[in-house]
Amino acid sequence: MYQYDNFDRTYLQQRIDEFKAQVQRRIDGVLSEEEFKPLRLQNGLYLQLHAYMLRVAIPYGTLNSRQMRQLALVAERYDRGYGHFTTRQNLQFNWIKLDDVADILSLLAEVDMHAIQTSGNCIRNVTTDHFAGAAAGEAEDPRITAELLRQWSTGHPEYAFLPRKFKIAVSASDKDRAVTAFHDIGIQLMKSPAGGIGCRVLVGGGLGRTPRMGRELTSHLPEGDLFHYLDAVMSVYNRLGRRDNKYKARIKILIDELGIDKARELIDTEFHLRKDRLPGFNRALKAKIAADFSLPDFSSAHPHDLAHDMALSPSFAAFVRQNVCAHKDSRHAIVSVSLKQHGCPPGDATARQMRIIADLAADYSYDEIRISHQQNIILPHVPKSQLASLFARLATAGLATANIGLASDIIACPGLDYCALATARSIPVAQQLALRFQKRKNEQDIGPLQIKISGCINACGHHHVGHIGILGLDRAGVENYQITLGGDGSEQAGLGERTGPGFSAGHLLAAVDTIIDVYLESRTGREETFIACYRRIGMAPFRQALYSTPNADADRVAAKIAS
Amino acid sequence: MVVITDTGFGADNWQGLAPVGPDDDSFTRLSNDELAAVVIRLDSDADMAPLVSRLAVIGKIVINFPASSDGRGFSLARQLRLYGYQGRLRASGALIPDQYRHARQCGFDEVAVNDGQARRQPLCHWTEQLPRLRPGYQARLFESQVLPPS
Repeated sequence: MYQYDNFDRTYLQQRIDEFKAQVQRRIDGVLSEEEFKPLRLQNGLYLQLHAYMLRVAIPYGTLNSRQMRQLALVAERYDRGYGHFTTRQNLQFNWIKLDDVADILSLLAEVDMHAIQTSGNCIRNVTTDHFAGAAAGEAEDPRITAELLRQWSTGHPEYAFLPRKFKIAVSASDKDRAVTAFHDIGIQLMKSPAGGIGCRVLVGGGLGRTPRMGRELTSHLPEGDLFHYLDAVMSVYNRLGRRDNKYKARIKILIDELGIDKARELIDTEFHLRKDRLPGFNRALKAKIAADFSLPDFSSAHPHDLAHDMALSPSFAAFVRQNVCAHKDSRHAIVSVSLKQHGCPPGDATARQMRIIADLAADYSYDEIRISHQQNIILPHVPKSQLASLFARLATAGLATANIGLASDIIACPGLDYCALATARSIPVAQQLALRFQKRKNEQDIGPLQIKISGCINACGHHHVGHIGILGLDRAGVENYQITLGGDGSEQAGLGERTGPGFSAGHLLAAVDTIIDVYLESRTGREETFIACYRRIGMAPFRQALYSTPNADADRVAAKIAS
Repeated sequence: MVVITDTGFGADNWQGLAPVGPDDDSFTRLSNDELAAVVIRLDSDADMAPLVSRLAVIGKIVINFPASSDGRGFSLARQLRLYGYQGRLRASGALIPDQYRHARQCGFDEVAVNDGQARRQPLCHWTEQLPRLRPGYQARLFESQVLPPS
């Protein structure tokens, strides 16, 4: 993992001191609320429905047990004993008092953590593949580039007051586990034929009210040129991005308006200006960071055949099949710990659970933890010989839910229970759906299925890229849920298509049942997944089933009356 | 109008110089000597193109910040420096002390605010920013810099 040096620690302390002084100047009236707000946001502090929310950065989703224990301490001491892991691999504390923020930031800084640039119109926390460094087939560990991006973007003087927020994701594998096509900038690293690393750069992807897939700016950029290139993109966006309407201020709209060819031309001009006039990329810094991310010493692990352990315990076997993935070292495995216990708010973890995860990471995973954008926790390097023992401890702690990638592994935004922007509840919908699958015991039969729920059009729950996407809206004071089908955030990225009119909260579960029934009746066999089946049969059979029932008719009438 | 530099508050010594925009008719008619003396005024949505070929002879440029949340001027300043502008560069408008670092690191020499702003945010809040002018993370990314000792 990346090791903080004196520079990082000094920087963090200065930022805390700076923020304390800013809060004081706001209290003294030296700063107006309008002037203070961007400063507050750039330190991760939101004013939500009921309280302040502090969003703590977990850069590229990697942390160690000491850091996890400190998050538990903050949850216990300053929140209500839990935190919420987000789709940007961060952690949110939802019940924070303004007076406590400076103390919390100091506690975080003790373990090299912070809340810098987790909100506001700046470059946000960089995300990457949660299996980085552990999965086979990577060009290199994408966290090296992600850490370089963190350094480049942190406190960048030119990009602190952008038209709108800016999100970057990096992937280094053919399997895109970082949803790179739906970021303001998506970077896909690959091995160059000529040696070294090359970057494919996508721009203008995003979800929200105007979902767009990233468009290719360059198919192959030498890695040494990446930061001058990104500076060129940012400069063009900062100057030309719209500031007259916040809903049109993301770079995706600028790319729509310029066209990708014109955008590329402007960016190339800026890029060559920088390449000609400015010093080149500091390879020594990359080498230092790469060394920090070298794999732990695996020499004490030995080969282990899991078949015997699995034969002894059906529940362990089910856990391995669902929550354990192949590691690039055959003696190890990647374990996903589900934060989607049926009926619990997706992504929430209690202080006790955080401490258990920290202990398990120290005992079983070379002290490494990852947060996935699916709001689960990963133990990336577990020796196979210790998997059964790890499973037993997870089961004792109630953390062995074997549903990774299944219908109850739902992404949901905080929704109307917490968020000031939300138009409908999303957490209760996720809870009800998960409980329904659990009661019917049909998840295993349904197979891989991603359900994603957003409580408003801003799409924090990624509903556009859910195999089944659910969007909660407010129709004349009544919650109404639109459904999309066929979205996909992977390397086969695509946006979901709307089924038609939305459903009331009371009829939503039945609608999801109907969709699943159509799939189960139509699939060629268990090996044909929901998304594969949808691609084959298309929207028509789903639409027909959804809108030919009396419930759907009633909803349609209600929607008509409301609109 | 108060002009803030690393040495503190000062009077506006550009007072009385009528600013000229690159889109003004008069801009194209100015001789090189005249260009060196006038103040070129850039709005935050300015197009740099007419300026680039004449940057070597221009002596004073002021970039307007319409709101403290509007960072376009930072990119304009950086672009001017990249194109080789070596004259005086001033940020003027709704900047707050917390943005002094951003302004200086993007290539501005000074920040100008109106008298009311200078009273609300007196000198001490600006000088507080001076320690933050040292190179940040960005300097580590490029070759000419040595790695800081860890």
